[in-house]
Amino acid sequence: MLPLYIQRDSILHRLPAGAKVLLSIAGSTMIFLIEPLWLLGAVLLAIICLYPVARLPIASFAVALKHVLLIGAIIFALQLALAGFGEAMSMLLRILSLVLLASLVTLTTRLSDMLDVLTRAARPFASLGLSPPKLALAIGLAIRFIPTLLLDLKEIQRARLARQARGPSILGAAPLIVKILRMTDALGNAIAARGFENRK
Amino acid sequence: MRIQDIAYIALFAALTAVLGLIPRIDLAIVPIPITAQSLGPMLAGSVIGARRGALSQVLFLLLVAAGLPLLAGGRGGFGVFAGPSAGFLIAFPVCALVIGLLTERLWQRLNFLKSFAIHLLGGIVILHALGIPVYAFIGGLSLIDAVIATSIFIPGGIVKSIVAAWVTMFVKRGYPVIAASVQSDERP
Repeated sequence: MLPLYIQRDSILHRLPAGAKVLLSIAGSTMIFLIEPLWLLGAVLLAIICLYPVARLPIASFAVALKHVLLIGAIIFALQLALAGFGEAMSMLLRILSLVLLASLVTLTTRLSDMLDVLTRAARPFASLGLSPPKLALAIGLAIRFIPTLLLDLKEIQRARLARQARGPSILGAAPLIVKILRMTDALGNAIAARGFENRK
Repeated sequence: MRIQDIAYIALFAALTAVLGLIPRIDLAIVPIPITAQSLGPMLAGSVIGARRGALSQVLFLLLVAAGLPLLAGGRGGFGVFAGPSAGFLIAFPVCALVIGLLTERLWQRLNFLKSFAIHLLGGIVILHALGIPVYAFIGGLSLIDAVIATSIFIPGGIVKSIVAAWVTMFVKRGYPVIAASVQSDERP
C-alpha cells in the first residue's frame, strides 16, 4: 500500500501543504458558484494545465481520472435525460474540475506534511481527549495495524478452509475481531508500561 | 483517554481500511461501489462504543484525506471528498456514534434482533440521510431521484446489518469491550 504522492521538483510541490489545502477548498467553493459554461470550461482547462506545471507524469492524470470517469459519465447521462445538455455539461465540468483539483493536492503533498496539516485541523477534537502526541500514536498504530489485520484475516480464512467451515467468508470477521481485540489490549498495556501516558 | 482506548481507535480505523480490500461489486446504474467497508463504522460503534467508535472513523477519514488509498477500490486522497459519495464517507463517524450510543444503552438486554435493528438504523437510515443530500447536490439530482438511485444499496446494507449484529453478539459473548469499559469508568 503506497501513498498517492508523487515526488517532483516544482512550485506546487514546494508550496506549504496548509496553503494547498486552503486554496483547494476555496477553489472548490468557487467551482460551485460559477454558472456560465465557458467559464467552467476555462477553469477545468486551467486545472489541467497545473498538472504539467507540477511536472506530474501523464499516468498520474489517468489515475486521478480513473475513478471519476465512470461516475461522471453516468451522472452526465442522467442529467442529459432529466435536464438537457447545458445542465449535464456544466455538471460534468464541475465534477471533473473538483476531483482533478483535489487530486492535485494529494499528488503534490508528502504524506507526512499532509498528516501534519490534518492533525492541526483536528485540534478541536483535542477536547475529546485526543491530544496531538496521542493522535500521532493513533495514526502510527493504525497504519501498522493494516498489514497485521490482513495477515490475521488470511490465517482465519485458511483455518476455516482447513475444517471446511460453511457460510460466507465474511463470518470470519467475528473471530478476527476477538483475536485482534485481545492483541490490542496486550499492545495497549505494553505501551502504557513504557510510560507513554506520563507524557500526556 | 487511556492508551488502551487509542489502541482500539487505531485498530478500528485499520479494520475499516481492511474491509475495503474485500472485493467489491460495481453497479452500472449507481456510481457508488458496494463494499464491505461500511461494516467498519457499524462494528466500530457496536464493539468499542460510541466515543471511541466515532473517533476511529474520524481517524480513518483523516488517513484517507492525507492520501492513503484506503477506500474500496484503492481510492484515497482529497479527491474522494469532492466526489458524489463524499456524504457517505462523512457519515461514517456519525454512524459509529449512533450505533455505539444505542448499543451501550441496551447492552445488558442486547440480543441479535435488537442489535440488527440498531445496525439498520445506524448503518442504513443515518448513512443514507447524510449521504443522499451530498450525492444529490454534487450530482445535480433532485432529492427524490437521489433516494431512488441510492436505494439499490439497501439490500447490501441489510446483509451487512445481519453480519454486524451476528459479530456483535459473538463479541459480546467472547470478549466484551463495552461492558469492560463501563465497569472501569464506574470505578473511582
